[in-house]
Amino acid sequence: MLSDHDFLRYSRQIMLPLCGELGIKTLAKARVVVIGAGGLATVVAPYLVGAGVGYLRLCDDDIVSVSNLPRQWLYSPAHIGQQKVRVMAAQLKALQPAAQVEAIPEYADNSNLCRLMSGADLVLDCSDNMTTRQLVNAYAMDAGVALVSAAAIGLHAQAAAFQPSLCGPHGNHGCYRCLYPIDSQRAGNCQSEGVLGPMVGMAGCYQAALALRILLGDPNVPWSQLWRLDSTLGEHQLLRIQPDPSCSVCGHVSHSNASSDDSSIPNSGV
Amino acid sequence: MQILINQRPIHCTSHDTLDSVLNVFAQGSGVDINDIAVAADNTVIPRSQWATYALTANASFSVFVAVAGG
Ligand SMILES: [Zn+2]
Repeated sequence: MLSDHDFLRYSRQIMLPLCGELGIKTLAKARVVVIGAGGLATVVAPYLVGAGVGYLRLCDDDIVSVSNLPRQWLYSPAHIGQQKVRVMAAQLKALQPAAQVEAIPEYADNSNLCRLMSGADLVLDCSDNMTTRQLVNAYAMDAGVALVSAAAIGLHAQAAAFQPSLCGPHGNHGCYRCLYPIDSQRAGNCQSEGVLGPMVGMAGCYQAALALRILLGDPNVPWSQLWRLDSTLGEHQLLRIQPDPSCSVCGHVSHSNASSDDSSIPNSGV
Repeated sequence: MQILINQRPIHCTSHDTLDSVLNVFAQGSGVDINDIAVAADNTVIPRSQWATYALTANASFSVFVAVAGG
């Protein structure tokens, strides 16, 4: 039974057939890892904690700078120079004191991703560069942890959800690397190409909605389907991501034996 | 033969592959071929299949650049 307070707090969610009272309990037990504490995370994290997700692990070593303020609205001028994950954790605790929020002031890389993802029900890629995106995908596929990746740049937003057990030649779904087999660090990032704040917000909102649907066990999650929004053309697509038989992450090893094969984690080119 | 890339008509010959057409398209658009993805019939075509993908008249492709910011 939910407390009267929780029943009131989550009443609009409880009305949803997808959620109900049971869904609130499911979310309270969910463990979500957020890679990156920039524009995407400042949108996604409050929605998840607000919806009742019980545990969030925030991973980033960046500090708040003045150029973040136009779109990373959990941060204000008073936070400039402070560690993003610590500021965000404090803001999230204020929003939902019952939530457990762990702030890890580290950039995700080959040395720590195993540890950062341990115990996760879901990983959210809110990072800001292609190198990290490829690594997060590789580790999530290897660990069998569902991944929601979102990104924005200029007037573009993209996002997709990946379920490792469905990916690869046996599953008929592609992973992030099947979509973008890219190792170049300078592919589409906000520092070099700029971004309109609301595009990050839209990508983050779509990512948050996917995350909650996954945690609530929605049977209609659009796994391995790229949502892309091009605001220059007013165009909006949902594209199926097929498995690439030559994918270095999901192409040559089935998920069932991936965890026993450490060589499936690419160490080169990063 | 004519195909469509992002709704713009592109002329190509029977010797062209998706790979060669995308190379020309990327150069003309000032984007790095390594940073793009392509879809037809609402399905992304894996990069490893570009070189062998058969072009048919009036096929329509959606080409877009990888987005990695956040
Ligand atoms: Zn793959």
